[in-house]
Amino acid sequence: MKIVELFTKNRELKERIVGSRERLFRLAYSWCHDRHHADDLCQETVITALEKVDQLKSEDALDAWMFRIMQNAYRKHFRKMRPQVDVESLEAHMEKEDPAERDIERAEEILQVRSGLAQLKEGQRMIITLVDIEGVSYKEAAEILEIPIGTVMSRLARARTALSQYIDRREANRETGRATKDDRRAHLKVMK
Amino acid sequence: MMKPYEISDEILNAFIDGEIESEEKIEILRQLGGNPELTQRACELVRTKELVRAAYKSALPDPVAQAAQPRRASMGGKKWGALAASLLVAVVLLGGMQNTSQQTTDLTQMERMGDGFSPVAFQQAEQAAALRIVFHLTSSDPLRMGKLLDDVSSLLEQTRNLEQRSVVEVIANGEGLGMFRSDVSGFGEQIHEMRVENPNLRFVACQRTIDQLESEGVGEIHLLPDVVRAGSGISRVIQRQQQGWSYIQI
Repeated sequence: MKIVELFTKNRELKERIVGSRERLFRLAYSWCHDRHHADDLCQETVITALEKVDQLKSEDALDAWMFRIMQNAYRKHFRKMRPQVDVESLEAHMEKEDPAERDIERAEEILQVRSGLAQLKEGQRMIITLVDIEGVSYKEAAEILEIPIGTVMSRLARARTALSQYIDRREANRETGRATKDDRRAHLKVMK
Repeated sequence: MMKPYEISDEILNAFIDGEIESEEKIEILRQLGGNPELTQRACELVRTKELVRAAYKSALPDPVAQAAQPRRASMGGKKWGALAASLLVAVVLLGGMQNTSQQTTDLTQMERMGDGFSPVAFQQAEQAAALRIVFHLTSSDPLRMGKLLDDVSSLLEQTRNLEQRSVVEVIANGEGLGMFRSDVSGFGEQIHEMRVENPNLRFVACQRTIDQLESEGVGEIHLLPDVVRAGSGISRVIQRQQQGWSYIQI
């Protein structure tokens, strides 16, 4: 390959790396649920990828390669930290996001999914976010997380079941809460 | 035709994720058709998958310029600095010598400027430069700091002798910030001389690191007069690379 072609190829790859910031942030945020930490993770990943771009074996594998860099950075720095969903922070940022999500029902739904993900084991959380948010294949997920495909499948199945059960419990609690409020309103009406 | 078999959770998940081969897929569809309970399980999995996807759809990072806003102390720039600190890690000669038409001046993103800053001279140098290099310092090791300044001086001298127009930016963040702090740096005089001699040289301190140090109770951070401030050192490094600058990490 000519030197000019090599530089052009490298340049395009670097542009793709830098252009991945939003996707990286979304994934990082789903892992740690902290905007500042997610931003740090994202920037760390971009810097590392830019520095090591020559080590990338295939352009097609760029995304998986960057996700792998990010999961290594995450494991290194956040191993002892359990992600927590900060309700106040979430509500504050909800204002910045899609206006439709200011809707209280929608906000509650997002909050309960994020809370449910934060409760999962780290390995389960990573696999479910990689597959569902980023749409990576099982084979890619296995390579990113350095685990066999069989483990990808079992972890994902457990993760979805646990999350589904968590969401069901939260929804049941919300319904109970609403019913209680309705009862109180009805009671007040009777009192009037 | 495949023999009927019990569909496990793993297989059902793989089915909704499109990971099942065609022959097996037909068998699963066949079973779904005759098994409402299995269909219900599949629907719940699809719903969970969609909820996860939707829950982060609008989670977006702050724009790069805003990411430089003062922030609470969290992971700590020191840790990231330590992570990145190494000997000369990479020299990325991407577009080091290239058309200058892509150059953009991002002075508006410089939040605050020191007294020794000469934006016009630097801007002119940047526009005329054929060689643009950003040095990134993250180490608190005085030996590395000294070597960095020697390397920069040598580079500027060489390009001058070759009548090659160049522009250099030295960005320090994390533990590297010490080189620019007036209270702890032993390089103030050298930095001042370099700045006076080279209008095409700029020293940039990371405001995010400064905010972090101040929030940790270090007290107010004072910089050398020849140093300017940028919101986030790392964001600036990324910007420079996007603009085609060569990158050298110390």
